[in-house]
Parts: sequence; structure tokens; C-alpha cells
Amino acid sequence: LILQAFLSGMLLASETKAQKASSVKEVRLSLHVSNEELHEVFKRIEAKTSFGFGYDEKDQALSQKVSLSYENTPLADILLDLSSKASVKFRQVDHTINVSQKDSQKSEPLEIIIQGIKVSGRVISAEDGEGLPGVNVTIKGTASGTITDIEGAFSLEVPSEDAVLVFSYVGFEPQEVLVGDQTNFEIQLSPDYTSLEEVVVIGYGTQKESDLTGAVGQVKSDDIDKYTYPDAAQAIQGRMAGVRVEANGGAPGANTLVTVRGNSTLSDQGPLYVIDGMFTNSMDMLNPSDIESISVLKDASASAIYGSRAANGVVIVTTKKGVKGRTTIDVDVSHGIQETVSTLDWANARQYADIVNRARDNDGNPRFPANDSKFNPNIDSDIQAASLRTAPVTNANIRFAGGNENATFSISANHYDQEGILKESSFQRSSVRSFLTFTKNRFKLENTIGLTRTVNNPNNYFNKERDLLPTISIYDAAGNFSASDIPDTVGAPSIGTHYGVGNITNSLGLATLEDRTITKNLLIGSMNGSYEIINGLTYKLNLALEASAQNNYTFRPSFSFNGSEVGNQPFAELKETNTNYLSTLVEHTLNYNKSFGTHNLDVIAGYTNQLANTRFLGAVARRFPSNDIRVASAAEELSSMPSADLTKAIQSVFGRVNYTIDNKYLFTATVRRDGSSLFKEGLRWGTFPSFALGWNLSNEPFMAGVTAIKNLKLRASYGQVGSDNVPIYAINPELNLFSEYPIGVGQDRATGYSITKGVNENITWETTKTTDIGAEFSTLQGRLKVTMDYFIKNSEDVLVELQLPLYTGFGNRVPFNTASITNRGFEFLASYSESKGNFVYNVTGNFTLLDNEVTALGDATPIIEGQFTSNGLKGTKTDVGQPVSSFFGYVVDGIYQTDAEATAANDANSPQAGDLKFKDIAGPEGSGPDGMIDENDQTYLGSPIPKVEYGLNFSAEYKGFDVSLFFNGVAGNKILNGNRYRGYFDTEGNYLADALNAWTPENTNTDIPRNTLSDPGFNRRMSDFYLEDGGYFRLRNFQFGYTLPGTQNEYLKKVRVYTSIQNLFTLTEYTGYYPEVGRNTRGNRRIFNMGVDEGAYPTARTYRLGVQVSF
Amino acid sequence: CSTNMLDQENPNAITPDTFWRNEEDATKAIMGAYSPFTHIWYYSRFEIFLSDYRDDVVNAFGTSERTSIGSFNGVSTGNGTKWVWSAMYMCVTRANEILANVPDIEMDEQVKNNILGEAYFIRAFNYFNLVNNWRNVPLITTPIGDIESPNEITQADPELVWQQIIADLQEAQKLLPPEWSSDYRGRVTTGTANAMLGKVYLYRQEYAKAKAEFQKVIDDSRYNLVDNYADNFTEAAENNQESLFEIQFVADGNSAWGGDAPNRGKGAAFHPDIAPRGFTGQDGMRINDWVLDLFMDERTVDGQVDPRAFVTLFFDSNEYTVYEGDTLRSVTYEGKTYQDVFPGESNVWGNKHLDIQHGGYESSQANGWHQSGNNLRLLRYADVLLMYAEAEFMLNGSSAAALNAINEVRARVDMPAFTTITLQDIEDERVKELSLERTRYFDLLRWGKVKERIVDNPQFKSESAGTGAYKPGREYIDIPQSEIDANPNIDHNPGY
Repeated sequence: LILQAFLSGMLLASETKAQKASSVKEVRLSLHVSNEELHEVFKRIEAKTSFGFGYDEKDQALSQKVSLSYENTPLADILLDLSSKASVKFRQVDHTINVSQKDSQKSEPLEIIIQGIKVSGRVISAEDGEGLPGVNVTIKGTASGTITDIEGAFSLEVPSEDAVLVFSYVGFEPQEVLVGDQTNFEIQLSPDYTSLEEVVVIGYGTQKESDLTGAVGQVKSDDIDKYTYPDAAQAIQGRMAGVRVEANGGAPGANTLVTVRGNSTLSDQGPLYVIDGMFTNSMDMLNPSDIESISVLKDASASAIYGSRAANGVVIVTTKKGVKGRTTIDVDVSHGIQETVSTLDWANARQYADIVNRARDNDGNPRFPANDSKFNPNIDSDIQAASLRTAPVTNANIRFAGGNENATFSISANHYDQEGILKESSFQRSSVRSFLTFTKNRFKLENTIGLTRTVNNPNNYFNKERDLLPTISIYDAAGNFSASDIPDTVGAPSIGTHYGVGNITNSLGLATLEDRTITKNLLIGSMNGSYEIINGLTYKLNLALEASAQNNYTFRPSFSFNGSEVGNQPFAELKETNTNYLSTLVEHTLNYNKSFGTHNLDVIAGYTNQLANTRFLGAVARRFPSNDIRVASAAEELSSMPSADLTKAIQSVFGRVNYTIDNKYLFTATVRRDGSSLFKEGLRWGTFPSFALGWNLSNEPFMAGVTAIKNLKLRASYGQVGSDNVPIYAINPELNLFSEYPIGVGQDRATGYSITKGVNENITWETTKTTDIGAEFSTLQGRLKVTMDYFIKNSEDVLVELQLPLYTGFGNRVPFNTASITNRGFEFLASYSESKGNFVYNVTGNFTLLDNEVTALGDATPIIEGQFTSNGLKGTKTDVGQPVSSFFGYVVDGIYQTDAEATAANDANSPQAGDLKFKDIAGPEGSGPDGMIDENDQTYLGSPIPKVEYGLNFSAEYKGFDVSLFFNGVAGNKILNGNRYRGYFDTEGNYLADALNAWTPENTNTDIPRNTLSDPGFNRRMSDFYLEDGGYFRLRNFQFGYTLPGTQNEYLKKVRVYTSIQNLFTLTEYTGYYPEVGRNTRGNRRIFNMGVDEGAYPTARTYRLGVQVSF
Repeated sequence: CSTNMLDQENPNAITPDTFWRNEEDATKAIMGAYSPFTHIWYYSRFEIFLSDYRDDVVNAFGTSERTSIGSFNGVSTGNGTKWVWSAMYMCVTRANEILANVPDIEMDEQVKNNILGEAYFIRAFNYFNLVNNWRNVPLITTPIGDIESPNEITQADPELVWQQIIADLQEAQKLLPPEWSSDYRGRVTTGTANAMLGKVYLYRQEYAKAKAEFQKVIDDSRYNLVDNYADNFTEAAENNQESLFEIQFVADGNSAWGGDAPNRGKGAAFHPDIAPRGFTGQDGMRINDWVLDLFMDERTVDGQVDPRAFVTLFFDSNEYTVYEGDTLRSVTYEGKTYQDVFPGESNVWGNKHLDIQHGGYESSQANGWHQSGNNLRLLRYADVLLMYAEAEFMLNGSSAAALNAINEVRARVDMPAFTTITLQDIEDERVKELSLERTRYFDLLRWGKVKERIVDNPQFKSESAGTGAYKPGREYIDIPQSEIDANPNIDHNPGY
């Protein structure tokens, strides 16, 4: 059957004959008549030629008798003679000569209209015989053509029987048919597994996959539409080699981190996003089902056209357009419920009290009353369980699309509504998008507008330090949130003396009482017009903008859970900021595309500029007449009004030449020159060139005999791209105008100025130099397709934002171009498709091996970050020879079993029996073990960056059933599990139940050090005690669908019901909430917090039911 | 193509190159150098965790990062110490900018000299704090931007820091005015520099030099004890004749944390860290019993409790003392007595600075952080007299001059005059006169008594983590990790 599918691109001809009509001027004949009636003469001519005469038999004029004698004379001359003799006129339409009475002597007696050959037919799939709608039917060598209708039918006129019809359809092998003498065709198209991605969206255009010289990954709507994603970026997770996509924890509305080919910068900057021609920083405003394709430009050859913006990769997103000839309505509604994948085993009240009592005993300090003499067995709170819930998630899409020869439209609306599995958190996104195209002769206009509103209510309090102890009730007797059970009477003990913890809050209470809403209204759109000046030469003007208005609102009412710093607020506080953002893009491009024999040249040159302005104004206001009045104007105290006006501009010129010879040799050269307002004159312009070569070996004659391997192509590229990741105005020194001091008898604040900002005005572009070698081929008759790439990416002059020592008096971080980072990697992508009768399936797998290394830091000192507690401990170090943000600290080597052993270790602290034993690794200045445990014994403990990432996608269809499974995983990375700090060492919160298993003289066979609050041995220092294997393998998405049979009719095209499960299972040894941890939000530079998990928001498992209806 | 759009001026701030042009700029700069004193990170709040919270008077509650300094666990990663360090160096660097730039400004010579004198004082005062808290600190005396290789900055020999402090104070003595007009009251004077230099010499055990400097203050008729001891701790009597240096606080309704930003609070936000339990959201500390016992060991000439006990402490007593026309009792906010508040208990609590009468507050945080504008006196004449007595005692033993000085302080609070003294008497008098005034820990440090008085008395830290973490060297706090991370030449302190 498969063989049949491949071979059956055959033509089924009809009986109808076709011959192109000739002009009566061209056809010569001899005719001799004498006094015959006109209609008799017509019959004689019909007998001698292919023409037929059309006339009204009752017409009296036809009875006129005429005489003629011609020898080899054009028929036109004969007809003219007849016209004058019989007062009739003739009109040739193709093979027919119509006869009518002459109205006036002056009118033209002969009119000739030659029309094309009308052909029609139907295109069907060779697999199932169904009509294929939307197939392109073109006349070879011309721009004219049509597309098939909903039944696969088409009709068009061809100029001659020599015309060749080309039938092409995405995913099918194209077919060419000579018209010949047929007028009715039935065409069977066979699926072409090798051309599923026949056209790839690249920078400023598209390219046939076979012509690509760069490394580009692409995901199309067929794959994206399979699942419901909260965030468009997650649609590419695990689907492209070399592209790391990581959800930033499990919170609804949490952003997604996209890293292309490793971290090549020391900032949080992600890739550049180009959405329908507009440059922006994220794609989270998009409704995933609006996306037609997502391309990730990975190597410099592909991305250098975006020059300065491309060092972290480029993600090009195109949204769905309407298709000519079809008007469709697609509706997709799903509803699901979410539950947490895992929970942590925190101590209950009794266990907590026992742990702390033992710690106080160990420290030689008295026990705290709440855990001992005043322990209340009736209280056993579980703030974790009280905070989690199962929660609904709903997604609804509707899309109208259609078009005709000159215009197409696509208009869609989406609403996504997710309640968090953590109480008091939710996220909603509503969006409307339109994509309109107009074509008229050489003019083309495209207009896309997306409107998005997101409303995010985050719960930032869950599982934070200083949360409720299990020995304290969540609610007081009146049902209000509380964080102390000490009666509010005169002389009552403080929480510090009673519970032993000075700062306790109630995270659920805080989250519930507080109003937190981040509302964002965003518009992103573009309008571009192009004009083909001469054949192949097109000018295009692209005008695009992104505008957003964001309101960030937090109202914390006055509350009193207890008397501690974090447990009460005597007055309400409002923090509200409105931010307006406007980014405009102007882009002129000139494109020339021409074939010279076997040579094909495609040249593009352009100029673009982008201006982005952020202006915000906020208010921090305190003391309100009531907790119900929540606007700043009602406050007694206007504490501050943070505001700023930030503008950034970029100007660029760019060009690219694509040159192919004989479809064998491919050459691409690109250059872009960018100027950034972030750098000073003289340092602001950067030039970013790239070159690439491709060789389609399969098109070489010597490969003609090789049938096992098809479409073999080798690619190589080298190029440079840049990045300007510094804060706006980083080079501008500033005077601080608010260094006031109250002076004089009246103690009025005297104005004081100071310099609090350090600057380095000599900063300039980061440059990333990428070398890429790639190979791709297909085999097994095109069913298996493989792409491989090896790359080396050297990033130089990388901007390091350094915290200057505080003794400089500067509080800000100052950027320097001093670091270098190398990423080396291997990417492998394979796709296999097969159909057996009604059973069609596809397996796609990919993996990436990545090696990230900081190769220089220049003058910068190693960067110590990765803070995992407010108590100052940091876990990562970024230094030469190691991956960015490597874990760094001591190595635990068991537990001291005796005081003597502890003393003998010569630790700079004062460990004793039961404390963690740290390994003596080195002495001062690189010497060997020196019999002392001090800072020289810190070492690299692993990397948060996976060495391997992989994804596996399986999808199959059988009759009406379809099933999709998407697995992905990572390996070779570590996670700093902050819960182990919280759970074993922190003195201001609950412990893990496992802290009961701590070392005691009786319980020596354990990994958990003795319980202590004073921690004289400094057990809590950064060490591999906190680190766990971060590898996982999971079934990310599972979907099962059924398309109802018999629903296809004129009104209802398709009804499909489906169910899906997200995160059905995850295999991991990680003991935190979930191994996909993202980057800790503590601190400003999150790149140095990779893999640092404080367990803030659990990831959900989601069960969904949905229905899709197409009209 | 035009490059105009690439020239984006910063519309949010003015630039330093338009600064340092006239007298007004110089004045703004010196105010900016004083400003960090009122940051929440410095005397407004956090400094107390480095000074009083570390001494043998205060027994802090709970085990937190802040109290860990008092438990000899002031490791480099602690945020609290980093903040104070940072604020101190802000004062230093701003003073350095002034000393480098103001001399070139064309302006009134007297005003210029005064400002330079203030800058010298501010630099010296902060290095004094730095060297006593951290000992091994970088010594920076020029603007950072003028340093060729800022990466090569190292920790200075503490002796060099002391020499710089002395040299700066000597400059300040020459340049400062003896007093300021009422519009500028609160700025430092010659007397401030004299007292501070004397204190520096005393710390260095250069007693003759110390005595000479103190003598200058004693001879200056501007300075005298105020009649009422309590006036040193009320907003009503700020910047009085006893005051040589006090941090100017104002309660103007702003309660936001921070510094160098609009509308930050500039009140005394450390009150919640002193106030008794129930009158603070901070659950901060209690006073060790020995302090009350010390007060109770002697009586006034009228046989009553030392009035300073009522000003300094809140304790279980029905006694009263008639002093300066008032009847002093042990009361706290809203005039509540100990039995009103803590029936059946005996813990001793803090009372000094709390501005209870002036503000009429119901607690230390009723109006939020920074609710009190009560200035913090850091150098006052009574301290000078006691330091003078100490210097004189070390030189000449229990001399008349020494006795006169200490007895002047005692007489003010109706305490009987000593006829002979020991060093212990001076030490005890300093506790009674100056507890909770940021000097006790430094006193113990310079006397070499940290181990004897604190480490060996873990019960003084029983409400937190005890003193088990002590190691030799931990009398000083560890250098903030931020400095070690940012500059490989900077090292941990011994003991860490």
C-alpha cells in the first residue's frame, strides 16, 4: 500500500478531447459555392475546418443565396466577403463562429475572440481518496493559477495544450501534468514525508528547506495545535534540538525561559522575538493556537541578519493567515482540572517541637515553652496542605478565516483562564488577533494586529521563610488568619520567648488578605506593503509597533497575625505602578530574486530603526481611612512616587545574498551593522557578518545511483552576532538628589546630593562568534529524516554586571566587557513517519549535548550568587573554566562522630560530634590538603545546566482516533534544593520531618547533622548537602482524540473530542516539588540563580477534556 | 543615516559634571555626606545590632541573622552587617569627594573650611566605627574615580587607619567652627572634633593626649552637663549644651525604609529594637539582670534609686525617685507600670531613648517605622567627663582631677561623690550613665574584656544562641562577603 502511495501520482485522463482554437485568420481553405443558401455554406465550412457556426435557424437572413470561389484563402477573408454579400456579421469565439444580422453598415463585420482551454478536475489524496482543499494549481512558468475548493475541485483556463499544470500542497509530493488534449483531470497526490517542512521561515523571508545553509529549527501549527499550552514558548519545548525551554516554576502566568544553544551572556536577556515582523522580548502575549510557525535561528548564518539582537538566538513567529477559497470557522474549547504533582514532608507540630527541643538541648539553652511546658497537643497546622487545592483551567478559541484572489483574512479570539493549584493565585489571558492580506497586481499589503489582556494574581508568599509553625493555628477562634496562639493579654509572652522564633507570619493569610493584580493590555501589530518594481525586484516597507499599558497593584490591608515584624502591619499600604511602553519599528527592504539558468540569486538589503520608550509612574501610599478604600489619593501618607522615563534606540542596515548553483551549491553571506543608543559615540556601532556554504550532495550526478539516502546536504557556517545587554543609561553618571539630612533648629530636611551610581562609559557590544557544521538527509524512502549540527559558539566582550565593593560607596552594578563564554554542542533531530492503511504515525526525537564554559572574566572577580535564603548564603560561582553559575561550596564527607574528630579537623568554625564533616581538599594558594577546613576547601559541586536534553514525540491516527505523547527530559545537571536549608538548618520556620532523623549519640547512622539552632559548626554553609541530581524524564503531554464520523457536511466539517493529561508522570530523584525549577527570583540577576530552587510554586498535573468543531 | 536617535539623553537625573561649581553645591555635598547616618542601614536602625546588641547589657530574643552577630556568629554572609558597612563607607566616599573637589570651588573661605572640616570629621568618625567593628578594613582617602587600580585596594594595617583618623580629626579641629547658627545646628564643631580625638587617643591608650583633648572640651564654656539627665534622651532637649555629636532625626510622617531616595523615613527606627515586649513589633531584647543589680547597689544622696535606672530601664519596682522636680518611677509607654504590663515577671527591659513622654505614643511602632524624631546622642559631655576621668586615672590614679570629673557626672543624678576610685568604678559608672548609647561593646573591646564579660557569660545571650560560636578573633565581625567576592585582595577576618 505504501508503495502504491508513492507510485500512484498517476494521471487519470478523461475522454474529452481538447484542441486549442485557431483564429479564422490563420485557417486557410478552398471553397467553391454557387448560389447556395447561407446555412448550406456554413455546413461546408464546418466540414472543412474545426469551426462550428452558431445561428438562429429561423433567421431569414440565412436563406440568402450566395456564390463564392476561393482557393487556399484565410477563412477570415471568406467571412468578410460573406458579410458584405449577406448583411450578416461574424463573431469567432474559440471554435464557434456566431452569426447575427448586421445592424449598420459601419459596424465591424468580423470579430475574433480566442479563449484558452478550460480545464477542470479534482485533486484527491492518494492515501484515502478524500478531496484535498487548498491545493495550489499553477500553470508552470506563469504566476497564474488557482487553488482547489473544499471538495478538492478546481477549474482554470490554460493558454494551450502545451501548458503544464503544477499541483502542490504542503506535505505532499508536488505533481506536474501536461494538459494535452484533456480538459478534465483527477489528480492523486501522495504524501511527501521529506517535505513536511518544505518552506522554512527565516529572517526577512522564507527559504526552501533544501536551500537552507543555516541552522534553523521550526515548529508548525500542526504540532502546536495538538496541545493546550499556557504559554506559547512552551510549544517549542523538547521539539527542537539546541533550544532549552524551561518553565519558571509552576505558577499560572509564570514566564518561560528560552535559551538557544547555551548561555552566552551573563545577563537575563533571552532571545530576540520577531512576531510578524515586530521585534520584541517575549511571545507570552500570543495565544498559542494563533501561531502558524515558530522558527528558531540558531547559528550565526541564520541569525546574523538580526545582528546586534541575535547573540541569544532569534525566535521568529508567524501567525495564521486566511487561505484563499475557504471560509472556515474553528472552535476549540477545553476544560481541565489541575492538582499538585508532589508535596513536601514537613514536620507536624509534635515532630517540630521534638526537633527544636533537641536543638535547644544540644545548644545548652533552655527549651522554648511552646515546644515544651506549654506544648498544645490540640494544634497541628499544615500550612502547605491548607494552601494547595485542585483548580480548574479553561481554554477557548474561535477562529474565522477565508479569502479570495485579492484578500484573505483570519480573525481569532481566545480566552484562557487558570486558577492556581495554590490558593489565591490565578491567571487570565484574553486575546483577539487579525491577519489581513491584500494583493493587487504588484502590490501586496499585510496587516496584523494582536490585542492581549492578561490579568495575573500571583501568590508570592507560599513556602517562604518565616512562615507559620505547625505549633501555631492558621486561624484564630473567630476564624480570622492568625500566626500566634498567645492570648492577647497583659503580660503575655512575646512570640520570641514563647515560640523561640522572632519572626513568624501566615503565608496563606497574607496571600488572602492582600490584593495583588498585574493587569497588562498589550497591542502588537505590523503593517507592511510591498511593490514589485520589476520582475523579481520588490520593495517593502514594514511599520510595526508594540504598545502596552501595565498596572501593577498591591494593596496590603492592615492586619495583625502576631506582634512580629513580618506578622503584622499596623496600617494599610498600597503599591501601584502604571507603566506605558511604546516601541516602534520602521523597516525598508529591497529584495531581488532572479534565476539565470541554473543559477539563482536572492539578495535583500534593508534599513531599520526601532525606538522603545518606557515611562512609569507609581505610588507607595500608607495609612488609609479603611481597608476598603484602596486608591492612593485616600492615603494619609504618600511615601514615594517611583517614576522614570527610559528610551532606547537602535538603527541598523543589513544585507544578505543567497546564491545557489544548480540546486547543488548554496552560498549565503550576511552582514548587519547596528548602532545602539546604550553605548557612547565611537563605541556604539557594531558590524556583524556571516558566511555559509551548503552542498546538496544528492543532486550530484555521482549520487544519482544512491537511493537509500536522499536529500543529503552538508552545511557549514561562520558568523558573528551581538548583544547590547545593559540597562538603559548605564553609561550616564547621575547625581542622587535625595541624600537629605535634617538640620537646624527646625530639623527641616536639607537638600543633599551624592554620587551613588558607578558607571563605566567604555562599554560596547558583546560579540558571539559561531561556527556550525550541519548535515541532513532522509532515508527509508523519505520516511526517516535526520538533521545534525555541531557548533562552537565563542562569546567575547561579554558584559559582566559587577557589584563593586561596597567600600566604593556605590550601590549599583556596573557593566564591563570583560568575560568570554564558550558553548559547544551537538544537536540531533530525527523524524520518522509511516502510514499503514488507516494507521498513520509519526515519531520525532531530538537530543542536545551542551558544554558551557566561562573562558575568561578579565578584570572581573568571580561572580558569587545563587542566594537561597534571606540569611545571605549563596550557592553559585561563575568563574573561568566552569559553566556559568556552577554550584560552589564545601564537600560533605559524613558526620563527625566524636568531638575529638571534630576538633582535629581544624575547622575555622567550632564543629562538634554530630556536625557535618567537610572534606579537606586544599590549602592556601592551590596547595594540597592542609589539615584545616577553611575557605580553600570550597570547590565546584556541579552545574545547573543539563549536559543532555531530549524530547520525544509520538503521534498516531487510526480511522477517527488520534493519540499524541510528548516526552522530554534532561540529564547531567544539579539542583540546589533550598528546602534542605529550610528543612534542616533555618531557625525561623518549620523543619522537614526528616530532621528528626538527625545525628544523636544514639542515632549515628544518618546523613542528617545534629539538631542545633546556634550552629557553631556552621553546618548550613554552602555545600553539596543541598545538591541533588536534577535529571528527569517525563510524559509532558498525553492526548487522545476522536473525530466523529459522518459529521462532514456542508455546514459542519469536523467534530473532534479529546482528552489530555499534562505531566502524567515524571521520573526523577529530586525531592523538591518539581525538577523543572527555572531560576530563583531572589536577586536581580536570575541567570546566576539557575537551578536554585526554594520550592516556591508546585507544578501541576492537568487533566483536560476538550472539543473541536470546524464549520 | 542620521545618528540623532542614538543620542538619548537621560531625562531622569542631572549629571555630576555640572556639580562642584559653587558654595551651594558644596553645602549640598556635605549634607549628602551626613545623610547616610540617617539611613535605616545605619544609626536609624541597624547599627544597634553591631553595638548594643553585641554587649553584655542586651540579651536579644530569637535566633536571627541580626542577633547572630551578638552570638559571635557574625559571618561574612550576614546581610545586616553588610548594610552598616555599606552606609559607613558611603559617608567615607562622600567625604572623600568633598575633600577632593571643594578646595577648587571659588566660595567664601570660611564656609569652605567649615565644610572641609566636617568632611574630615565624617571620614574619621566612620573609620573609627569601621576599625572597631571590623578591624581590617580598606583605607580609602580619595574619590574612587581617581584611584588608578581600584582592584588593588587591600585591607589596611589597622594602625594606618588609626593614624588617618587622628590626622583627619586634627584637620577637622583646625577647620571646623566652634559653633553653628541656629539654622545649621546639628553640624559638627571644633568641640566635636576635640572630644572625638580624645576618645581616639583613649582607645589607643595614649592617655596624656586623650586627656589634653578632653581638657579642651572641658575648658570650652559652651559645653556643660544639662541639669536633667533625662534631657539627653528627649526630642524636646535636642542639641543641648551637653551634646557634642548627635544624629539628627526627624519624624515627619515618612516611614519608608531606605536612604538616598525621596521621602525615606529619617526617624529613630531603632526604638522598636529597644522597647519592651508588647510595645514593639520587633520582639527585640531584654536587659540582663546584672545591669539593674548594678544600679541597685547604691543609692542617691537621698537614699533613692539612681534616677538613671528609671531613665534607662523598665523593671519591676514600686520605688520612686524625686529628681529635678519630677517623681521618677518605672513606667513605660502610656505611663504603664511594670505590674500593669508584666504581672508576676521579673525581666528587665529597655527604656532609654524611647521618647515616651514626648510623643505620647502607645508603643514604639504605633505610627510605624521612624515614628520618633528623637536625636541619637553619640558624644555627650558626660561621656567626655568619664573618659577624662579614665585617662586621668590611667595617668595619675585616683587623682582629684579624676574624682572631680566622675563626681560631676554623679552629682548631676544626686549620686554621692566618690572619694577614691578604681578602674572598675569608672567602668560601672559608664554602664549606668551610658548604657544603650552605643559605647559599651567598644569599651569592652578596648579594655580587652569581651571574652571575660560576654563569651564567658553565655547566660547574657541566653535568649538567642549563647556564645558557643566564639573563637579568638571573633570580637570583630567578619568582612562582608560582598567585598571578598568583589576584590580577591580582601580577606576574611581571623577567626572566621
